[in-house]
Amino acid sequence: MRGRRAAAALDNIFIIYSIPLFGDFCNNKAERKLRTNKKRDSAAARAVHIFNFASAVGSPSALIITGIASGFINGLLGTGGGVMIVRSADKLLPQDTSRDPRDIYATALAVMLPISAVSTIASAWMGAWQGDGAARMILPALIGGTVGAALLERLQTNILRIIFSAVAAYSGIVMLCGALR
Amino acid sequence: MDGMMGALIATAIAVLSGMGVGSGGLLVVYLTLGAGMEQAAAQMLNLFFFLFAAGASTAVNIHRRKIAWGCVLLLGIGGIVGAVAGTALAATAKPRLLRLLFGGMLSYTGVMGLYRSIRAMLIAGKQRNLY
Repeated sequence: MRGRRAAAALDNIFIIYSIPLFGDFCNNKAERKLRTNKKRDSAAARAVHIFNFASAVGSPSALIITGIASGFINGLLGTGGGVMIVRSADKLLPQDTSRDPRDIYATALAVMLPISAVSTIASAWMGAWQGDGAARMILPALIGGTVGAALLERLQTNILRIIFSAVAAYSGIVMLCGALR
Repeated sequence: MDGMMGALIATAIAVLSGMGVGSGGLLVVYLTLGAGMEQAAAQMLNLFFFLFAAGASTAVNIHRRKIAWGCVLLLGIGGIVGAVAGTALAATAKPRLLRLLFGGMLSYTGVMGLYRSIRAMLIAGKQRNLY
C-alpha cells in the first residue's frame, strides 16, 4: 500500500513539474492523470477502511458473538438487536466509524438488514407468521426509510432520541402492566 | 393496520427507523395495543416492515456514510445464527412471556436512552459554559 502511494505521489510531482515544460497539450492529460491518482488513493483508503478489523478495538470473535446476541434478541422479540450494536459500537467498530454516531447508525442498520430477512423467512417457514397486513407496510416503510436517511444528515438526533426513549419507556411499562395483570 | 391513519403512523415510524433513532418497538406497540394484533404476529410484521425501511435507508447511506462493511459481514454472520435460534424460540414461546420480555426490553431501552441522552446534553451544556 505504501509503495503504491509513494508511486502515486512521485507521479503527481512529475506531472506538476512537467506542465510548464510541455505546455497546454499535456495540461489536460496531466490533470486527468492527477484526478485518476486521487481517485485511486481514495479508493485504496476506502478499501482499507472496509476491511480494517485491526483498528477495531474488538476482535472478529467479539463481532461474531455480538452478532449472535443481537440476532437472537431480534429474532425473539422482533426488535432490539440494532440497539445492542449501537451501544457496543465503540468497542467493536473501527475508530473512524465509531467517532461519528451517524456512521454507527448506518452500520447497525446494514447489519440488521440480513438478520431481519432471515428472521422473517424463518418465522414464515416455521408457520409462526402468515404475512397478515404485510403488503400495506411496504410503501410507508420505503418512503419513511428514505426520508429518515436523508434527514439523518440534517437533523440533530438527540431531541428525537429523547422523545423516542420517553415513548418507548412509557409503552414498555404499559405493556408490562398489561402482561402482569 | 387500518386506513390512512395506520399508513401515516407506519411512515412516521419508518422515518425514525431510517434515522437509526430506534423505533422498531413502537410499531409492535401500535400493532398490539392499537390494532389488536397478537404479540408474535406483530413482532414478525415489524421485522418485515423493518426490512424495507432499513433497506431504503441503507441504499441512501451507502453513498453518504462510512459503513464498516467488514464488521457488517462478521456481525451479520453471527446475527443470522442468533436470528434463527431466536425466531425458533419465539415460535414456541407463550404470548404472555413474549409480551413480558418485550415490555421489559422496551422499558429498559427507553429508560437507558433517556438517561444517556439527557446526560449527554448536560455534559455538552457544561462544556459550552466552560468556554
